[in-house]
Amino acid sequence: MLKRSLFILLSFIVSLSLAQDPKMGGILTWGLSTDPPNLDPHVSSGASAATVKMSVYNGLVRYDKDGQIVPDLATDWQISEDGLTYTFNLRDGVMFHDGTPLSSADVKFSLERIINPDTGAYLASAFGVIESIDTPDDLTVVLHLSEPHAALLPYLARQEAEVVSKAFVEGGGDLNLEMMGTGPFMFVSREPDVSIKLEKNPNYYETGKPYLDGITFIPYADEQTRVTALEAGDIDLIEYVPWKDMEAIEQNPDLELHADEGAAFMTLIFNQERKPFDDPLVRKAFGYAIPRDAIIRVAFFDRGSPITGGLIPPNSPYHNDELDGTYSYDPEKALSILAEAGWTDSDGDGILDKDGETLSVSLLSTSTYGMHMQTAQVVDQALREIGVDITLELEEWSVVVARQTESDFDFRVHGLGVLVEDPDFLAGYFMPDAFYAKISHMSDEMYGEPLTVGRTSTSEEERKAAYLEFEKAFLDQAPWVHLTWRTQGEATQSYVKGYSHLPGPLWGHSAYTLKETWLDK
Amino acid sequence: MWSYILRRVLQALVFIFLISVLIFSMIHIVPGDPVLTILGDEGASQEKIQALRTALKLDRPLPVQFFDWIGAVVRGDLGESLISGRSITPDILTRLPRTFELIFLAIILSLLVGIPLGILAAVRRNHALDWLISLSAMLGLSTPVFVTGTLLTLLFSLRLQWFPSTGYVSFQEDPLAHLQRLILPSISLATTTSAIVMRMMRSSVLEVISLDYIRTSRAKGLNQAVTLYKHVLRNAVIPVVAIIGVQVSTLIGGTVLIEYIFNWPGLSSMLIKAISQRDYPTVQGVVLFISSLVIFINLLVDLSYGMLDPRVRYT
Repeated sequence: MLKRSLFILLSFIVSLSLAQDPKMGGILTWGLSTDPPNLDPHVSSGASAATVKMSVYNGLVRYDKDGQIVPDLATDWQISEDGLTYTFNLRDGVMFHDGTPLSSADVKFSLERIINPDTGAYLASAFGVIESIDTPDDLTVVLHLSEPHAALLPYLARQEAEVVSKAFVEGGGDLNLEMMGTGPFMFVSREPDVSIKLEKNPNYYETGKPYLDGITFIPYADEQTRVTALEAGDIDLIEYVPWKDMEAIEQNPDLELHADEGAAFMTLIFNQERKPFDDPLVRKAFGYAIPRDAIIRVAFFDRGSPITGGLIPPNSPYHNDELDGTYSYDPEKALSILAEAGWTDSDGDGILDKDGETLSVSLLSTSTYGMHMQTAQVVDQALREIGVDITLELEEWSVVVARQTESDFDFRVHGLGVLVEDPDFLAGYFMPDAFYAKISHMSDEMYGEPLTVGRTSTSEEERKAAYLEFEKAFLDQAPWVHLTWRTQGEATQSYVKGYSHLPGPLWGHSAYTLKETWLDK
Repeated sequence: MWSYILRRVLQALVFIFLISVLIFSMIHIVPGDPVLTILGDEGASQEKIQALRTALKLDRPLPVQFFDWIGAVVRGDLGESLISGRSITPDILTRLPRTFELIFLAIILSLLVGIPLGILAAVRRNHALDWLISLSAMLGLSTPVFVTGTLLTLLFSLRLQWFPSTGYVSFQEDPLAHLQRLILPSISLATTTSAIVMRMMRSSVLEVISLDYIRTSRAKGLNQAVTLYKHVLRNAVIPVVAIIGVQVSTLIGGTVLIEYIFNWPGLSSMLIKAISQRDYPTVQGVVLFISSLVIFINLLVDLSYGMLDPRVRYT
């Protein structure tokens, strides 16, 4: 007995001495990949801007470092049986940076501001189901929905759902130029393209946090410059680590890589209004003709994995294992599917043809981003090998964006993200009224229905079945052909402690852990 | 003299007008759309695009847009950025000194290195020292600035850790940190120019040395140092001044790469960003500003010949 107590006591002492106490103070310098075009928390302007905003603002709920939804400004919440009423109880005593207290009116104001189309808010359509908002008292907010929305909490946990001060905005504060929230850090100053400075909020609601005295964000437009700045010790942390540098960073004892996959994917988008992509057989054949491993090797330096089945990430409970392996690299199969569609090399010139016409297609991609260009080059080469007459159009990014909006392309390489930690992210791309569904002329109604069931059903079984149905139909029709997952990561100096890269689709929310970050030097 | 200056200034104004026509047409001909940059690559409906285009006055005929712009420019207003909505003139004025301190320091370095080495090479003509200096000048000339910049970063920031690799700290905030960050980009920028100055100085000194009056001054027993200083240098330095004038525009071009490599928030990085975003007024404003400046500097260089060489007269 005595021995056992002694052992427990000893192990307790050992574990105490092993766990380091965070050191207070110091300024963390964060190398951004781009200068935030605006500071408005509700308007999306990319992951870099989101990182800055989420250090200054809080939402009702947020993600912790393991990717779980946890209380933030709301201490707890109740969802009604029918999924139509959400009641949030707010934390008492939270202060905005200007010293005014947070109340339910600020939450109502923020959500209404997001829903208002004039704001141009990122979550406007996701929150479209919110019919009305009640504030029975200063610390209670009740949302009434027009129909159940299974992914409402994950959307509320996103950076773009943060709470702003009603009085500040109505008093003429410009959210685009200034940040004023309740978060762990307070806005100090911004010089465009030079820096954004934040300082510790001494009245932050979590007593004792943040550990840092402040954060300085410095934009680095060039990725090589960003990596060099980290290696030279000019800055403490960089985002968007280029794949080619990941290995060197892992092997450098002074640096640490924080990365994982399941957040971003490469895909081929077909314009189904143009021949030959109006024929699903041609699209499917292309799905078998492309060596996804070669893309991972060439474009991502082996930091990725192939997508051979559905698009719901492998780490999601909704991922359909049985669909994995639907597509594989099989040029013979590609040729036989094309033959089924009528495309054969009848005149022996090495190019497939049908009724006297050759199989000529043009692939749109960009020279602005290496990963896009290299992916396109692999696709180009692979299709050429099976006898497709392919033209590779490498345009500057802004030209690609303009041509895409006009649907002026045969098919294109794109890199997109899983935008919310829920299969409802598919709706953002493939609902019939979504931008990408429109530009690729995916008019087929067969996708809209299961996606709507998936969004509005309160039964997990029903949701799972709906998403399986969606993914099966998608793989069968191949309106897009998905290629690979890619790794996404940040790198820090090894003295940066307490920073965590959030798993999978949540990587863009890793800055939630900055209040627990400290410098061991 | 005055009529000469007036004529040159008028000439410059015509040039500036032609440049403004050229730059306006060029940036509008290039495909791409600032409206899409603002709206992002997703979720931009045709109505939204049209509404924003109207709001930004981009839906009017190009000639109307041009005269609207040039009219405002004459009144001293370069307009507002389509992307950030900020006024362009103050942004240019904030960034201009940053680019110019790079160029200024690069010129000083080029003169400090180029002139003495040029003289040395000329005096030691065809000796080993001359070969060595000329060889390094060849190397300096043929290495692109981005290679020099990258190599300097590798050596002095990553290996030796003497200087920070990148970034900008304003002089008011921390003078020492400011200078530390200024050194590597300036040296990279100065390599080509110092090689050019050195070669120009060398050939210029050689030319002057062979002239009759130098032989005369030697013949009357002046020592070499005095001859060099009093008679050779003053005449030999004129072509070097001319070349510096020409080099300023090359150096401005060089800052486009240097500011990118060293993350220096100057005028050139502002221009590059504006081009990729199709921020028409910013591109037009910055290019017009830079070209007016280059024309003005060339004018000054022409006028300065008179001060250095009394034989030059303006008619």
